[in-house]
Amino acid sequence: MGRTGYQSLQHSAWPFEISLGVVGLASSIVMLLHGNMGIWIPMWYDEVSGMVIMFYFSIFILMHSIISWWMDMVFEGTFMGDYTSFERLNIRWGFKLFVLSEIFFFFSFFWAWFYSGIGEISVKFVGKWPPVGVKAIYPWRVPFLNLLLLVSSGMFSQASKWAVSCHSKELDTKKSGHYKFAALLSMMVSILLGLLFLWVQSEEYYWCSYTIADGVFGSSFYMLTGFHGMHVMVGLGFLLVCWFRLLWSHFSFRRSFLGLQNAIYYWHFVDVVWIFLFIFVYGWPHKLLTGVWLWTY
Amino acid sequence: MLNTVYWFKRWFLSTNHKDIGTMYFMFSIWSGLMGTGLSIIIRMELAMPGKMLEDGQLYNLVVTAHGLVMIFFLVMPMMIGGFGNWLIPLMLKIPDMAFARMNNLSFWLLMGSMILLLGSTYVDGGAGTGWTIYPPLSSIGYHSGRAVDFLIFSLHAGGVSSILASINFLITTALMRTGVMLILRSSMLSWCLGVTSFLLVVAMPVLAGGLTMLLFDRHFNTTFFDPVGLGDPILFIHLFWFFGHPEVYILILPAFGIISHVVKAGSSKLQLFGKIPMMHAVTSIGFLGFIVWGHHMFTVGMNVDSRAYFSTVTFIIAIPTGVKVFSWIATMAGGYVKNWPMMYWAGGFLFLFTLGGLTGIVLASASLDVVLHDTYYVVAHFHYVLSMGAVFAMFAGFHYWYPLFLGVGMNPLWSKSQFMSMFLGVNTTFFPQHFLGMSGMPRRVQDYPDTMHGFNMLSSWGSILSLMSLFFFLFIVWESLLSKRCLIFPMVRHTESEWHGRGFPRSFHNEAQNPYGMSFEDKTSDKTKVHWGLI
Repeated sequence: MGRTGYQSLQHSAWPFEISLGVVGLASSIVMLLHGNMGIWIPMWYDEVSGMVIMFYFSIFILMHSIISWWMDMVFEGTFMGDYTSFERLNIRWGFKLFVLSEIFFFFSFFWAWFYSGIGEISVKFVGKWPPVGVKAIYPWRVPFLNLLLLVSSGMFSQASKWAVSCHSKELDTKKSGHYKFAALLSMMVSILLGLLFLWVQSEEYYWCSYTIADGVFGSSFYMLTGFHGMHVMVGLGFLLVCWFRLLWSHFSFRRSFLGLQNAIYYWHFVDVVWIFLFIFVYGWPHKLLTGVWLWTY
Repeated sequence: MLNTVYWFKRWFLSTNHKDIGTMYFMFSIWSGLMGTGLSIIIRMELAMPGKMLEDGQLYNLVVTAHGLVMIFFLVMPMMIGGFGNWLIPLMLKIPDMAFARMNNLSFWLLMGSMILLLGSTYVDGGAGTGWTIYPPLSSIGYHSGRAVDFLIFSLHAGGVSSILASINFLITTALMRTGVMLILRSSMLSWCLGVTSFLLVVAMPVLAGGLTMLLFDRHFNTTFFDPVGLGDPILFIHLFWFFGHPEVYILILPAFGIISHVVKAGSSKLQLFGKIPMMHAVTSIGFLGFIVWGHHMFTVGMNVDSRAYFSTVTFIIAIPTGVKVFSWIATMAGGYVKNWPMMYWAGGFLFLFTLGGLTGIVLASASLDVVLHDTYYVVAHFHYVLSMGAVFAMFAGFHYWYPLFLGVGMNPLWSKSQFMSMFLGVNTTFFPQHFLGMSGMPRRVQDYPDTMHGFNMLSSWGSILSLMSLFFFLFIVWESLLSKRCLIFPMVRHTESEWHGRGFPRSFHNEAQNPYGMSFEDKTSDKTKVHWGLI
């Protein structure tokens, strides 16, 4: 590491492998979307299987490289001690900037939602949002349940972080054992609440009267909630990894709990996006707050 | 065998900011040649009235690819990936970038993005949509093949590459400075790249969202941009230009940083004139860049009050830009201006970028823009600020730092004459396009009325001159590598920290201990005092 205080990293194959996976994934998705490979390649199986194999193989390559990268980070941080306070500051703020980019990704979909909702076409020409024939979901049942699930999940994940902060400060091994158990328990509750959210939301999707193909309302609704759901899945994966690392005592106040912190930031971000979804995507079409829907000339 | 393994590890699995910077330079120069080739095809088509290319779709594809390649694969990689990666750790005196491995990911994702773009041009007639990919032309009805899908994925991959690189730059410049390096003491290039990176982190995801909506409209029965489902193509235009305007500032802000360094060193000055106001100017240009996107949309049928707002705020951007141009001129004033090739390029930048900015002011006026929108006046404007702003700055930086990166020198006499011929070439190409635009020649057309032949022919001759100048430049670089006139010592003052140190930069990462001899968290010394370090 030298005397710099920063990590001196040697060669890593994961960036190159990720780029291979990305090109393969993009190409296979394009082929699958169009239903043919577009080029004749001698194969002993049929064309559709070829595309599907390439798709799954690319996913495998990507998963392999991404997971190996994160495993390398665990080894470098927890076992090799490369992550000094300088490096941890970098990683923590780097992750926050990444979350900022995700916020702006959702910003674009919210823009589409508001543009369509208060825009010329729906208000001036059709006069209603949601459009005629679309029965908006009543916000104070399932969406509100989901809000409570996510907010409480966030609180429990925060509790597990507090347990880690207290855990290592405590010198009495019996008490510190209780704190570790508390961290594991609250993280497990957090994950279970998140899984419950996903299950409830999937039921909602199944029983919903409109689909993604139902005009711009359906399109924006499912785009927003769908991407949110994907982020919930990723966040839950991150929390699950943290649960195992808690089990294996990777985190401590004295050394670091960077992975746990980052997972919880991501989880809070997912939670806040749901709050915005609840207010503007479920609530507003039902005139939730203002009593009248917003309109402009 | 071991040599091959070592070569593979060094160039494919790198974590070294210098090697990654070198790869970015090679990639961007290659892409620049490809983009130039595409531009020559355009100018060949437009040199004479009538059609040269049988296929109009091919012409549209060439226009689209020219724009995308130049923006995403020449200017951004060279400025941010090339100059940024090489110089930021050297200027801040730190061992490497904050996330050395992720740095490599940004490069290889960009390579993947280029492969996907090339793929897009080869399949199903290519994407003849213009680099702005507006629906419904880019929707499934009018581009039913795979080309636009490959293009969407190419931009997604490039977007992720840029976002990750920007996170890397922001963390490096914000958090890895040594104790004495207060943020306002950062070099101008660090500051400009920091603001550029912030713009990228915020704006790129909006493009990603818009592209995702386009992809879903094409294949998954959504109707974001289709009025049949109460969608609106104008939504895409809003989303695209909310990204697109910060994008063009992303293209020019690093150029501002490079020019600040070149002008300061080339005027033998210790300090840039008004460095802190310059830094604030860069920040305000970055911020204002987010709230002016509507000036690309004056003809879509927006509210008159919105048009008035966008015109006004666009005019305001001229103020900090003016601060910068005047500060550069003031830096040159009273200094011994060195007769180096880089100063020729910098001088050319100052004059021609200013001209381009002035035509931008003309276009900022909504009423004038209604006449000039989508004409060659717009093409002339952005080629002045890009082809003569960004590209001249890239040449200036290349001539300035080439001996630092490679340890050899290019022939200065040839470099100055190459500047002259390039200057003549680009001006001959783009100045007549102002008149073409004012007389109403539209953009992205394969043919034009016979009355416009004269200026079009002149413009095409200019493009050939630029092409020859580019070949001359390649010759100059090649000759410098085979003649190996090695750098003995840099005739640059110690205020330029990237040149400082014993001999040349180390091959891998940088000094283990920073040369100022102070710890990274300097709690003991008084941070308000100027510390001269080893100088």
